[in-house]
Amino acid sequence: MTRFDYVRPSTVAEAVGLLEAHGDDALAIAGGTATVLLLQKRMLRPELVVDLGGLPGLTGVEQNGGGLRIGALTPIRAIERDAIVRGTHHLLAEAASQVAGVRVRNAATVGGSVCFGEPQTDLPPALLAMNATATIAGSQGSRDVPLEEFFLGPYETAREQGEVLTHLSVPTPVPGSGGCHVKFTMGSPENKPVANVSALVTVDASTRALADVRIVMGAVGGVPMLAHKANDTLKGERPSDALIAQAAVRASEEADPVEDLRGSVWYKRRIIKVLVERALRCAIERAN
Amino acid sequence: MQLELTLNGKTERREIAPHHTLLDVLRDDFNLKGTKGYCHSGVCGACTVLLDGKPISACIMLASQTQGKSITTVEGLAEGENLHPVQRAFVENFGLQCGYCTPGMLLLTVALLEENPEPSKEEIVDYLGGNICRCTGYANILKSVQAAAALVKEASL
Ligand SMILES: Cc1cc2nc3c(=O)[nH]c(=O)nc-3n(C[C@H](O)[C@H](O)[C@H](O)COP(=O)(O)OP(=O)(O)OC[C@H]3O[C@@H](n4cnc5c(N)ncnc54)[C@H](O)[C@@H]3O)c2cc1C
Ligand code: FES
Ligand code: FES
Repeated sequence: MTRFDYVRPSTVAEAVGLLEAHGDDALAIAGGTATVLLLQKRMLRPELVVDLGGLPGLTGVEQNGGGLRIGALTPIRAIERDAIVRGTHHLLAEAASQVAGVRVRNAATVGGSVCFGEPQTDLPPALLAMNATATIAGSQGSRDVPLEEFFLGPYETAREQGEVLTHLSVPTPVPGSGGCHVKFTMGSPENKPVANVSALVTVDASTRALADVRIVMGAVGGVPMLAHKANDTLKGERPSDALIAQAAVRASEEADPVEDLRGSVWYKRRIIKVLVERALRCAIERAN
Repeated sequence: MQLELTLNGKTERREIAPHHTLLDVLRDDFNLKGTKGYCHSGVCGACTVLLDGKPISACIMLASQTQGKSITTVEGLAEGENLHPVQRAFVENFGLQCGYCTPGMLLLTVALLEENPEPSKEEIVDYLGGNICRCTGYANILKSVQAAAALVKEASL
């Protein structure tokens, strides 16, 4: 590890001030589970580490208007165990429970998972399926960025160097909705995903047709991707085996995986097809 | 920087380098060698300690991040010669061979039983599954955790 100085600011304004003043020489950390490894490998060489862990008011889940407000510093394990999340935002709790093992989930924060911008993650696809919005504080005040516009590429997000993610707002799904997160790993389930799918569907109570469908594919592109063609195939239709199979094929064509240790492009497309089918069936069943 | 924390129940103050991990500081600055390092990347669980009662990996956390918090290492489990019930269960059920993974397994078990005093087999596997053991084949670890649950329950009656 290279040497660096360490500060633990006690207000968001102070944190933003430090990050702006030190520019690329400063690194924000929350849980540290992604960054401390990179510091040890000298892939990050900051002069100043700004520990966001002491910022007040950024931990926990509360109900807010039509959804939940999730503080950026909330540990992933707390999301998984939170009674409110498990009730109204079950998809998020399910995705959270599939991140690594308990040791990592106790330290890793929701904000860190989103801001790191890593392609192989579980929580960002679920947050995107649920149409979440990130609130980011900077020296000019706060701005809201829908997650659809937040992820720009591998390890690249709409967050500027001097900004701090304060919370995520996640709308409550309308009645008749069901969500499901399915993850495929190599080896043990604690590993990062080869691919995953987060699906949120709404079934119309009278027609049984799919009023809304948001399938998000993870780890098969630089960012979590909405499967637009698959979603359009299903919207307004009554789900059948044939239709689900057709949507899954569309999704696998839309996916943009790269070959790596976890598999070839061909393999990952095959996996995605199966995962989309599984996630859809499970989400539709839960919606009913 | 000056680190102040509660370590195995005692308040400790130590001058540490801000770039050192919690694992380095526990082993080198506090001379607590029970906490092991192996993968140094959060995967294996050899470095598991409890932070405010919850298991974390000490290799991917800076010691500075634990300012004002409470850390329990395996050295904090026994009281003098009296083993913690979870330690007794591991000894009695051959839940260890070389012992390298054992501090992590013990601390995970303590935290699991705190959260869930009567875990099912599936819940035990889910909770401990992220920690790797190269010797036992896990069967005796599972048995030890089940025995530990019974011992802890007995001790609390
Ligand atoms: C062994 C292991 C297994 C894993 N397996 C999985 C898995 O199966 N699925 C999965 O999804 N993930 C997995 N992960 C990744 C894990 O989810 C991330 O490491 C974690 O979510 C990052 O959160 P953190 O709080 O520790 O972030 P940190 O390491 O503290 O920070 C990560 C990045 O986010 C920035 N940042 C953090 N918080 C903020 C904020 N509030 N505002 C602005 N910037 C911020 C930091 O500057 C840094 O760039 C795994 C990690 C490990 C170590
Ligand atoms: S040494 Fe920390 S998890 Fe392996
Ligand atoms: S007893 Fe040897 S690694 Fe578990």
